[in-house]
Amino acid sequence: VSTYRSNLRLVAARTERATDAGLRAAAQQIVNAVVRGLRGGYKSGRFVTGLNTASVVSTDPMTRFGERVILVGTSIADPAYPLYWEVGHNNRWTGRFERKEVWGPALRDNADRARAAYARASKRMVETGIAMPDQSEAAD
Amino acid sequence: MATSTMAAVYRAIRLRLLTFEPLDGGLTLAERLSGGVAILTPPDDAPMPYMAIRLQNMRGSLREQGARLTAELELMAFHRPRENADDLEVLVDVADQAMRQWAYTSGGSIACVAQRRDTLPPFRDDADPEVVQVRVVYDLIIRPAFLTQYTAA
Repeated sequence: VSTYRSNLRLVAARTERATDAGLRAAAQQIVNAVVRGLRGGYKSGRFVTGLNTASVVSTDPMTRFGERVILVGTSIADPAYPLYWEVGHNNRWTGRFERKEVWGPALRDNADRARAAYARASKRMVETGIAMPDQSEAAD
Repeated sequence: MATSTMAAVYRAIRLRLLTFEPLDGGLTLAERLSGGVAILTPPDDAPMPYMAIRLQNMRGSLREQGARLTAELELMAFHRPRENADDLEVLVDVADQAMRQWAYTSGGSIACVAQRRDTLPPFRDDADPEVVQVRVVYDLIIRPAFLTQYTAA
């Protein structure tokens, strides 16, 4: 007599964890790229306080419109200096239109790297059930 | 030819935006924008309202023998003071109409296939709080003549 025991539930749970692990790893690549881009600050670098780089964060994976997603953003929202500089603004002090893009290029230029990080982390989770070690630059 | 160079592509897009006549008989952007449509970055002393356009994230592939580019056209619209926020939205409405399913096909091609539009929150402190700003990103497919000339029919 043989007994069949389904591992489907286990596989499904591990697949979900693999997706989230992949998202976290991918997001960390973008966080790292943005932090690198923000070093030196805006314009002259006189306003570098570390606050800006420390504000770059990613959320936990979440379900949005039926898909697992993760968000990368800044905790500086009021006033939204990173937004001002990313999209450009009429600067009251310089009297000029000022812009320094960091976030968009970081995402575009590191999309392949983020995809690769996703693949590595999710594969590791599927195969071993263990998440990747922290990939943040602070962990180096 | 409007797509013989990337600079010509910019000029074709700018001309489309400025000269498009809305179906309701309203004014063109050339008549409405005091500061016109700047390419890349607006001049520091541009009178409001004005727009600035820039192509970004341009990507080619081996599709169509390497002559097909996808790109994002970022359009940034500005007005001042803040009480003109509604007027600015109307100006961007006209731009949206101009770009809507636009397909330029006279020598190479430029086609608009999608868009995303954001009205930015009011700025303050370092940024002039009286300026209102709308950002639109149009997804374009560009087949520039300087690339299509190498493709077999």
